[in-house]
Amino acid sequence: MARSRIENTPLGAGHDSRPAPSPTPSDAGVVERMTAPGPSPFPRLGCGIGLRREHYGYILEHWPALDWFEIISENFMVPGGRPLYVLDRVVERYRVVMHGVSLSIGSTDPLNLEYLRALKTLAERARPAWASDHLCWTGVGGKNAHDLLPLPYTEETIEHVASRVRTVQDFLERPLLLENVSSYLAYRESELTEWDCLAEIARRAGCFILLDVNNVYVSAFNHGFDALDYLRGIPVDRVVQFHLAGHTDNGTHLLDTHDHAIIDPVWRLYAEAVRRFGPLSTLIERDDRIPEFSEVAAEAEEARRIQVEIDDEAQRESGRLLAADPRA
Amino acid sequence: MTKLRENQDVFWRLIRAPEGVAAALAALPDRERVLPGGLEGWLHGDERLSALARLDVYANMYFFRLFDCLAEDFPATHAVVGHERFHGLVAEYLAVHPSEHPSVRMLGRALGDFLEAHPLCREVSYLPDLARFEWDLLGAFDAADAEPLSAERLQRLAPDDWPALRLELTPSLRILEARAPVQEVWSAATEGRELPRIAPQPTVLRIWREDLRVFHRTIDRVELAALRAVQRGARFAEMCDAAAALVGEERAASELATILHRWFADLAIVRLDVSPGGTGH
Repeated sequence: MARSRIENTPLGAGHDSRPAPSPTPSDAGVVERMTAPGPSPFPRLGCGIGLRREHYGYILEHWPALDWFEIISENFMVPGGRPLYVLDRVVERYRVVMHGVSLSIGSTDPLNLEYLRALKTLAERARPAWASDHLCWTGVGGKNAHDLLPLPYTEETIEHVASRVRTVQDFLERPLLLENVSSYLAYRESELTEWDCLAEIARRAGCFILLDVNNVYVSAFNHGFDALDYLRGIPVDRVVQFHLAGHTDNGTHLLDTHDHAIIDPVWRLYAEAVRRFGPLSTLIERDDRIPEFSEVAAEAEEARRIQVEIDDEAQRESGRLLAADPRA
Repeated sequence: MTKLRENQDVFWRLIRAPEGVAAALAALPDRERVLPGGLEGWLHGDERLSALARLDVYANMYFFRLFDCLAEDFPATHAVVGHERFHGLVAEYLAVHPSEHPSVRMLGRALGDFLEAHPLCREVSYLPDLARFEWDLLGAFDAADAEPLSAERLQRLAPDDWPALRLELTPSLRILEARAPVQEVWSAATEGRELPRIAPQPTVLRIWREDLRVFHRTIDRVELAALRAVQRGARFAEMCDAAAALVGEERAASELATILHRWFADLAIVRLDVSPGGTGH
């Protein structure tokens, strides 16, 4: 049975509509502009949505116009039946990216070779533009919590994760993207910020980054840091993809529930991310209380509109600069 | 043990404790060694959310995600037990059978067996079989694909081929020997009808997938014997002997003919082999 519950949090009930203190200043242009092109091995796929069971029927019937789909890898690590039937048909018509939730790259358990083999087999079938998972651990002692658990940001973590990422990339024979997770607690032993830790792992492992803009927003609120500091701390040439999603405001903390529409402050943070990193492949995640396909697709369309708007803005600015340059 | 390992070990022990993080923390036997500064010395807390409350967020997410998963995979078991008691059942089940698989799809693998020894079973004796039925439906849903054989293949067999005939069943096929007609409870629960009261009555179910749809049907003891024979890799001659032992030689032949016809109609046969030795197409 296909499912994507791993990124849900079941505490969505009791949504508090009180406005959360925004971790994002709304004034534009706070983050410096993109200074380098995106990493070349990765195509820019446009704006897509997560492939979810609730939409299978609609997709197979209508083949809607959409740039790309992201699949939850584990949902398709099955011997056969409907999940793989749907995948095969989707792969014929759309670009696909594989997004995993059980690599557990930060776990102190040995890497699960059986899992990696299944991932590689799936990649042969899905022919993804790339594969990603999360900077977290999901279990220990052979057990799986099916949750994205936080790591301390220490030299020990950096070395541990970077070395495992290298092994995974060698095994899969493809680069890996690591995604920043939403988190609800922080360890006192952390020696550096989350963004510095992620950036250093990417540098040492030679891997890339899937920047989840909603997760930055959620964690910024939960830990009281500035979301823009996060964006500024991530190297431009490492980011390949964005995630966008809704969350739940529990008053004391935000929960990454993927069961609501994306809120305006997250859209504004996304705009800042596009200014800094460029119009990268963007993916809308919806994992619970899943609305009709068209509603999720409309959010992908909104992401595209923002990308176009920022591109226009950049062109106008470069036009002004050219006009002001006496050498031009 | 490295620092990171210790960190993860204690984190995991605290978030999965059925009694909650605070109680688990108080009961932690090596607390002084692993958390010398207590929870506040390990994790940041603030006026909004204490360190304990923050760890509780993870403990709740752990439990409720897996609760939702089991409730979705075992809708009829959930309906029969009721929401509150299902909550308790899941907590007890996870304490004994935490997930050991990268896919949450495998979480319910042992629920049927777990229920055998559970007090709920004294109240609803068929509960383990209902859970097994739901697990088998899931198993059939995403079992390996296989091209079914057409019944014409049987017609092309020479009379001399029959005794050595061996069949292979579609990988999705499951057989459940239940204590009661649990499929009736399952149908009612999944269709939102009132749950029927069912009396104990040995019921054998065949569950399989045709193309992408999962089906089930009750089968009699002759078909059960024939299916078990096929699963053992027995030849048609042995299948006849097994059926004859149940209903006599004469009836066995006609009943097996009907059963074979039904298996092919249900797209349940994917290969046949009449060679005296190994296997072939």
